[in-house]
Amino acid sequence: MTVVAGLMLVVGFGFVLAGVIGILRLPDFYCRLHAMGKCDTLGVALMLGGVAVLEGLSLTSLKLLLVVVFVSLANPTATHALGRAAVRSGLRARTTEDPGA
Amino acid sequence: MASPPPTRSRVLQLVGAVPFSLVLFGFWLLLSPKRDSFHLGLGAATALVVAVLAARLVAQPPALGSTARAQTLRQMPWHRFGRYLPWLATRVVVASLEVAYIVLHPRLPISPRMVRITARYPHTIARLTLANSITLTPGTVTLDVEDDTFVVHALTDEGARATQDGAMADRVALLFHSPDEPTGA
Repeated sequence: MTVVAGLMLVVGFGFVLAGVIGILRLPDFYCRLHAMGKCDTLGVALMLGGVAVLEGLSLTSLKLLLVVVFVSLANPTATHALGRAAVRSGLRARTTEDPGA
Repeated sequence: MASPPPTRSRVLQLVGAVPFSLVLFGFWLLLSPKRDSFHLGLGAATALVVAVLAARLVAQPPALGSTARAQTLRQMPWHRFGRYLPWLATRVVVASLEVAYIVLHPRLPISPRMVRITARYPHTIARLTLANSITLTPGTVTLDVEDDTFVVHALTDEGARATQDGAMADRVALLFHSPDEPTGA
């Protein structure tokens, strides 16, 4: 169990790290949304899940799983809200056809 | 001064709030470690008040764009999500792996672009589901939905193609399709 929990923590941390590197390396706002919306959601879910496994079946681990559910609902929603706000305020995406935007 | 008698639908709404208040009370029990009668009573009262206040949200279709094809939360085919969610979960893992691969790749192999797709659904919740599913699958994020048009940002060519070929839209259509309604997706 400890091994499973440790693995989940490390892999989850890896995804969060990848998300952060993505935010630093990707060229524009819309691309960065991808790094934020995906890697972070899975990473945080894995890390909290790992802590829950470490804790065993208890009220605490149930609460942790509730946080996982909440994060996996709230994170994509926040990503979408940011993206929609950007589109509506007229931010242009940098694309392969139009790299100067 | 006597208040007017509640209409039949209003009563039904309040009866419909009971199961929801039980769910909320279960949530309270999960979060609150105190088991004395004061705190349990507080929880029960809170659950009931919230359920009654939220009854209209559960019983009425959400106002997403045009409400002509809207469906209430209670009428949704929830059981079909049993097959959809596991599939979606695997897509989320693949999506994260792909984004992680792209950002860790020394040459940053991206070709970002905007994609517009159209999908006609009988229900607003179906559109919501498609938009969120696109966001969670590899290389694409839904930015905006206006009636039947979805504005999608794709990080890669592959993502753009996968969005345009409509496989995801078909799956969501299946999820919400009922025999008496055309999906038209």
